[in-house]
Amino acid sequence: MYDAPHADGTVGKAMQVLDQVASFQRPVRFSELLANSPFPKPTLYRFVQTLTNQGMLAFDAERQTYSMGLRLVRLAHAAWRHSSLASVARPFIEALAEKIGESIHLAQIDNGHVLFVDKYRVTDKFDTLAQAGKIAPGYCTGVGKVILAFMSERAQNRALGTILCCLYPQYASGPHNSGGGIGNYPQGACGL
Amino acid sequence: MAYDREEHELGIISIACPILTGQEQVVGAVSIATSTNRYCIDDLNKHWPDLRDTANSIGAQAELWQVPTWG
Repeated sequence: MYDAPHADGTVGKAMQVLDQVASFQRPVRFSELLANSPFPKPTLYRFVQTLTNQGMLAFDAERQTYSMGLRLVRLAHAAWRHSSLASVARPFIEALAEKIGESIHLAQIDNGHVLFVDKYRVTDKFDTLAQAGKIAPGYCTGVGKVILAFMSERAQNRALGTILCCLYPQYASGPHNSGGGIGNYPQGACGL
Repeated sequence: MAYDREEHELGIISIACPILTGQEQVVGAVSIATSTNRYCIDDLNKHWPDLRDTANSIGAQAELWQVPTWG
């Protein structure tokens, strides 16, 4: 839960009420909110009424309880739709780059290939081929190798199979590749 | 951790750390890349604690946001 400094005024206080309702993790009665609220009863009631009118809280008249409103759920979904590893990681990558003064790459892996999803440069003295949106072989990049090492055995097998198909096209349709995986390739064919 | 010793690009080296969620699921990786004109692998090793802390922080946020993973 976030604190609401006095400078945040009415909006900050309303957010405090939302946080309090959410903290119960179940529908909650007004009396339960009041018992632990920093606000006097008329103020708390006014906030709860306004938040309900705005769809941020939902009121169940039969049970006389409040829960998180549909508008809040829609907002959460909108935030989720735009979430990605790049957006989540950006502040941390910026902080690291500024601290050490070197380029930072962020990547994910897809079918044995590395997809660079973000890059942060702090110096113009050199540049790398990595750019957000570009792909690179998983087996010869630091990010690719470390992701491959931590994948589940099944995903690793599939990714390495794809890599070998790229390196040794003859195996893609050859007798070794009946199931499409690293296990079907001859020992020594992989140079990881 | 993993290194790239100019394997992908001549003159560029890097040190990489996986981004793991609490369930040890890998969602990606982060790396520090530099030019061999500036530093060597041993120099990059000095940044390992910062790189690891960054990867851990991203992993915690990624789990919270349930970012998609690819195989």
